Amino acid sequence: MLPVLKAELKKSGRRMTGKFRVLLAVLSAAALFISYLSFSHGFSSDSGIYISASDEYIIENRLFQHFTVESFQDGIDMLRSGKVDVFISDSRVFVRDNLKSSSAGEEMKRFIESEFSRWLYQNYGDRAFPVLIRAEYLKREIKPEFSPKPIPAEEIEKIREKASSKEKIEPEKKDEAIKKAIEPKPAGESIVSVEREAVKFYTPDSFSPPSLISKMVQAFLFLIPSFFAMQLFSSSLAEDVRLKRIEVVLATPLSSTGYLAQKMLPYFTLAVIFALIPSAILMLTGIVYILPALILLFSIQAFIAVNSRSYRELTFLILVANLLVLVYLVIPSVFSGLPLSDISPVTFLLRDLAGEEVYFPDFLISSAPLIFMGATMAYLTSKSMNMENLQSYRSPFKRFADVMASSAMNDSSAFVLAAMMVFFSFFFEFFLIFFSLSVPLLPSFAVLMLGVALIEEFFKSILIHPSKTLKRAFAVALGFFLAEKSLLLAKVFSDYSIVLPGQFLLLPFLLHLTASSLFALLSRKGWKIAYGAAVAVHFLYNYMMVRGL
Amino acid sequence: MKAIIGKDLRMIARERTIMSAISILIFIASFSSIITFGLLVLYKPDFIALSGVKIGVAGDCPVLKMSGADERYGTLEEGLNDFYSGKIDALIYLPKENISSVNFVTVYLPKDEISGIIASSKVKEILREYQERLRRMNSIPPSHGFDFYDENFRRVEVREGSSITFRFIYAVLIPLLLITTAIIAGGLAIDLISEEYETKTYEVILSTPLSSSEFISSKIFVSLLISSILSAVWIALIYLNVGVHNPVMLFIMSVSISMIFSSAGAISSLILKDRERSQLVFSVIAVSIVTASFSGKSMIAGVAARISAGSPFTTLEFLTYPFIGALLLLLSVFLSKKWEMME
Repeated sequence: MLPVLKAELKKSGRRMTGKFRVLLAVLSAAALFISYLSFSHGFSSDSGIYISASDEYIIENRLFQHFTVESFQDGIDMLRSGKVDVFISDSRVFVRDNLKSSSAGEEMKRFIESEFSRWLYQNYGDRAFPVLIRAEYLKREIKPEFSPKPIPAEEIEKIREKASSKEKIEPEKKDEAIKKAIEPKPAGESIVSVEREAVKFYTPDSFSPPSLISKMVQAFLFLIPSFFAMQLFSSSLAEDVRLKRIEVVLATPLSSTGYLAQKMLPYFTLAVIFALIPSAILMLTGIVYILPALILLFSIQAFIAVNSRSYRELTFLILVANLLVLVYLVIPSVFSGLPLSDISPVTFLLRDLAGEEVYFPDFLISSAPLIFMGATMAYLTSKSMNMENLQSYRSPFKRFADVMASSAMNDSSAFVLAAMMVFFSFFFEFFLIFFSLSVPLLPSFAVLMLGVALIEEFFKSILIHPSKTLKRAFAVALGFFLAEKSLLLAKVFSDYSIVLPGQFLLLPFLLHLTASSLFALLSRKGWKIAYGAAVAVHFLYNYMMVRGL
Repeated sequence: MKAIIGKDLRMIARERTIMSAISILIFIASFSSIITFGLLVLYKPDFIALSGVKIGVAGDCPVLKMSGADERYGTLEEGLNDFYSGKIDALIYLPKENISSVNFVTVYLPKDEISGIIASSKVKEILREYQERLRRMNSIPPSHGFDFYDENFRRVEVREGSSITFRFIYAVLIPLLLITTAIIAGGLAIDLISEEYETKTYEVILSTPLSSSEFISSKIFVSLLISSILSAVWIALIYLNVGVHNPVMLFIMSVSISMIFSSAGAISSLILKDRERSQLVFSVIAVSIVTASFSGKSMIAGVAARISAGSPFTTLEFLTYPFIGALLLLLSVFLSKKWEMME
């Protein structure tokens, strides 16, 4: 039973000798201790980042390096020459017109407000803060109607109940929350927080849209420890490939899928255990949000480990892959409050940690692409474990195309793979949207439209190329179209598709069919010519849709 | 030694691995625009506002109703009806106003809508005005009275959201690029050394006039050369994108941190001799260094932030890292000699 699993455990036992275990234990304990100290000390790499000067006040704030000047003119001269970012005199604050100086000005304003609040609190107590705010976020779907129907009384009662239930918390907790809102906080607070609050009040000065940025560090607490397990897994698998052990295993009756599953199991279990530790400390359900990400990361690492030509390539490609997946998981939470943020399950983890309500179906929708991509990568990895592929010196990207082509043996498997490729397309198009934010609006649309065409036609072309028939083109176009439409049923992806013109019903199918057929017809003249033509058709369609032609 | 360096560089060029490393850094460098956009949306929502939003106030609250709302309602029901039909984008609800005590206000905002973010900015202004009115009614000074001017004494408004963007770019993003480059350099040093051990070519190399210290030095040199190229690329990108003060000093700092990581990687490979364990030990060390880097003013991220933002730093803070890097480099060479003698 499970011979690879047993061998893996034995190998780890042999390699992790007593001395090494001691070394690892000492280093891990030191890492934990340093991490604990760092978190308790707080994020402070921005300390002293601004320079302030005054002829009257002394500024004690960790963000500022402060200078006292003799006269008003000295201060203004220092500001004009760029030696200081902000100068204060009497009740006037002077700044220059650049990012650093206006940032320093904003921080100085916050510092003055905080000092003013402290003064008010000391002199007038709670009376100085007559307004306390609590925010309720309600989902609504606005449909155009001539005479909107009134909301049922029960619905109103539910909303009222929901709002007042939060006020029915224990009096001490409520008092604590009120005290927290009123008591002045030091300006230049750390942008990282690990607190979980049942109820939160704001003063009008501290009220802001919900932001998960301060909670982002918690996502890393869940994810980073698992990377150690992944690293061990990819190293072990890569070693089997490099030392040709895998070729011996493949000569036995054991299937490549069975081998991969047994090889992955102990490390996957270890990664789950690592993710369970922060779950146990912060929130028991935390692990649920992380599982889809672990599935995807493990299967990507498996593919790279099997298909890299050297350890160097393995290290670099894993870094790139990990970074892409981490960004896809974590960065959407920066846009909390916008629909785009819901594409990652980590946003839901952070919302749950922040005490916000999480709708389970929304979480499932965000997880589906990760699970489907993970399953596809695992399948492609096991398919890539054959002698011809293992002994070739082709690059991992070419091997990806090869294994896709060999997996699309017939039209029905090409149909399924095309459907799966929709998730990969959405994954890469997410980065495309991000990159398009870096360039001005008009070129950004052109870049976006061209990028979408390049990505989608690439995935379709590698499935059509082995057969080069119109029948295959139809199967691939249909698979891609159906998966795309099913994905767009979810609100988050339909919002997404307004940017990537895919929100119409039948036109996209005609587009996929035309581009795929064109590729099939031209592919005898060479992949590049056919691909170029398919991209051109796809780009023209996107461009016309955006221009409303 | 030249031959070893040439061989490794040729292999890296052939596999185009450096391209994936450069793509990582371009990717992180481009975050500055993305994060700026995200943060601006959150902290200065009118950045993306195309049309105005409408705010309603409900309840028995005459003073609040005077504070700039667009629609006024007697009951919560009326307000929520208009909220759900889209006539208003946010509803401020105060059942019974109390002039001389604390007023608990509930704000209803749309979930997952851009209008919710824009509306919250307007709600904040309305409630600030309300707070000032109540303070005046209770003979409490309403505001601090400080005003902002430019260097030519013209009144200006301070841009909200610029500080968090600035701090994110200079105190998080740039240090992160620097550390990522160093991690790549460390990982590369491990791979270059452990590959020679695992394929037994190390023994062949040592049978030539090349000493083990030259072998280790050449491997660290290659990883530092790669990290120098990467550092130059991302510093140039950031310089063009948002601007960097002291790019040369930042480059020296980046290569120094890479020297620390490469030497740490080389030492772990020298001791453990296989990639799996060396990378594991290196990762644990790297995690400790990375978490510690952001926790103090004089730590790696703090110094890099001030160098790149053009803020004051001491010579000692700057020189500490090249010094530690050089020390670790010497230690790795010393250990390789000792190992050779023992073998």
